[in-house]
Amino acid sequence: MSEAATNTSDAVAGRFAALGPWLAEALGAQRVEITGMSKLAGGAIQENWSLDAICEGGSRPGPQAWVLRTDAPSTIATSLPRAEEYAILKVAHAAGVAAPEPIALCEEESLIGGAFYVMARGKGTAHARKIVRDPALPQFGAALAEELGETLARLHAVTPPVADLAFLPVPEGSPVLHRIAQYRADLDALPGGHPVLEYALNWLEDNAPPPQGPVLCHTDFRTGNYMVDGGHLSAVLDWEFASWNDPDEDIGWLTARCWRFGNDGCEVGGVAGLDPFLAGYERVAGRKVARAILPYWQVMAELRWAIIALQQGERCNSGTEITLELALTGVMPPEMELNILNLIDMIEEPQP
Amino acid sequence: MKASRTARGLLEAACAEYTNEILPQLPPSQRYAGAMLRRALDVLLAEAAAAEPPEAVLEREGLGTATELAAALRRRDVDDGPALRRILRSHVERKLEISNPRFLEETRAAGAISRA
Repeated sequence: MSEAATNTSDAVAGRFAALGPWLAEALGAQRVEITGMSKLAGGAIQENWSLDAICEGGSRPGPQAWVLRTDAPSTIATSLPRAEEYAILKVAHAAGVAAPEPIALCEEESLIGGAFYVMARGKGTAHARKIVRDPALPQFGAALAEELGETLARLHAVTPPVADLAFLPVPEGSPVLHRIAQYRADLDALPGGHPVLEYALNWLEDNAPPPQGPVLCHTDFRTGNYMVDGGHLSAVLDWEFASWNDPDEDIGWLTARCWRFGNDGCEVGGVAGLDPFLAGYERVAGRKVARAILPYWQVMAELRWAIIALQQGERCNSGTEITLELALTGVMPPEMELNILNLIDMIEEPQP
Repeated sequence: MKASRTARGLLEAACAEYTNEILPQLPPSQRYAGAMLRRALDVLLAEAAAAEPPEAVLEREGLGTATELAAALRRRDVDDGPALRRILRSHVERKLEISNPRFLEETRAAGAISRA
């Protein structure tokens, strides 16, 4: 997280004045001195702050490298509250997933202006374009993909019921059909008509695979949401969309063209081909992934990203939050629509 | 769809001025925002220059507006075979010619498009 620009303004100091004493109490330390705070880049839905601190006493004395995560000015309906995201982080970390270590949760909104939690700061970068354009990618891409497969399989080993995750709804019946119904409702809430997305929903409904799971899915597991340090996976980030779901949905999301950042030849998030990823996943999961079904889940992924992009654009178009980044995200759906049509053509009209 | 000659001229001049005079002068901290602004101008220019709105493709095929076709698809009240996919592809290509012609060209170059 070296992209951070140090921000030492009085407003920031004032907003976080009570943080040190609160952390000291939460961690049983005599004192927690905040030695540095800077807002991290990105975060349309959440605010992430790099936080350096020194703990005196308590369970973790000495210098600390943390991230504080709280809500951005506007959020979207499917994003989990911070307390729930923190609970998921704890479960994932305990399951051996490469998730940042959860440190402390504060649900008191008055402390910094919203609920927040603190977690360990991962090393390296999550910048997707830097990762897929790294000149050393041919040397580390396959090993990275294998590590992604291993960590995702550890997450998918978590199945309901989990008492600490009782807030996560377990889909009744087929997770796929549940998703399709949800996306139709999402489209109903948006202005205008989207015939390619409606076509895709019908196709997904007609071709739904037999139900699997549900298992604990990250549901936003893609390049850009994990950190890479020295060519290795260091942390999986952004757990706000986690859900009980079909495990193949996470794999479809990771491998869809829309998340390869222009490196289309590397199906796994623009970093490597499928083989190393599936080798890592299958070794840990103890199940074979049906490769033939992955294009189906890639259609689902492209559809989902198109709907999210439309929702982001609508946040701007409605006047709720006028930013150029949101407006430009709102013009992206035709890219996903073309990917959808290509995938369905490939499945329906395979070339000899 | 097509903007007036005056509006298009104004947009083209603004885009040229911005691209040639302002964008190269931006400090590194503002280059990302500057690139986003350039991209927004590109979309506006392409939309202003388009001969017709993308959904004209649908209307010519007797499928109504995008909203009407979306509703018919939801009702399963339209033949959803390969012929419809080809029309939808034309519709999407017209949209991409406005929003991201480079993506369309790259997809075509990769051979992942239009086997019809």
